[in-house]
Amino acid sequence: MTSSASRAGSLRCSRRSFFVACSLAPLARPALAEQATIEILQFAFAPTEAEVAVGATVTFTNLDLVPHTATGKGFDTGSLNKGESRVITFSEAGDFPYLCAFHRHMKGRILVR
Amino acid sequence: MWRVISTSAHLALALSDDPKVREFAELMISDHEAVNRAALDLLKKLKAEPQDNAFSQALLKGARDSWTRMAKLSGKEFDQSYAANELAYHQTVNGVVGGAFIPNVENGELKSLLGSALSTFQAHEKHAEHMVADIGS
Repeated sequence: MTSSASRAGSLRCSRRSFFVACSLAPLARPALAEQATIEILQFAFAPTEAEVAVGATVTFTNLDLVPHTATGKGFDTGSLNKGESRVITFSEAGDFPYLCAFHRHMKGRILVR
Repeated sequence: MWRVISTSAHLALALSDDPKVREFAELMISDHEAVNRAALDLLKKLKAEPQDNAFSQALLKGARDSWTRMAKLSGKEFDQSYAANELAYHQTVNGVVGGAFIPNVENGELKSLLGSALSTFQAHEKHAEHMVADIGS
């Protein structure tokens, strides 16, 4: 009896902890990445969207046969041939949509928080 | 294919003032040059020689007829003809590369190169579709 009451108390306690943890979970943001890699393959940026911390570096690597760029407000990788990479540092918070200057249907986005 | 696309593109750069047509032509020169370079590098590595075949000969003959016809055009007539021609050409090539070449190639490196080339030409086909729609017929 004591034992069951104790077990019931323990269950109540762990349930309460679970609900508290669940309600606080949205407030506990995971740390934002300080580095990210965007691959350019088959005429697409992968991943299409990346979220990084202020000051993060993003490496763009072209794996396609043809040259591409990642060009957005305030940054430009320049022409990247197959196998070439360029590292861009995002030192200000903001939303940075970009595209390939040669193939304008290719679009991506960097969110800097 | 490089020869056909490149000659058509140079014709467009000589005869068109439309920025969309000129942008497409410049893209065809740089992209197909990159694909052609990769293909030649692979052939060299495989110690193989590029060879003419019935398909490439038919493409070249069709292209020569188109160049003769298009060289007599100017302005919007030329732009429409070039755009329609590029769309038709890429549709034909993509059908053959995807439907006949890739399934029948056994060498893994060549298959991979053809797959990359096909994704390039498919992007060009979509671009050509937009160009045809923008220029009108």
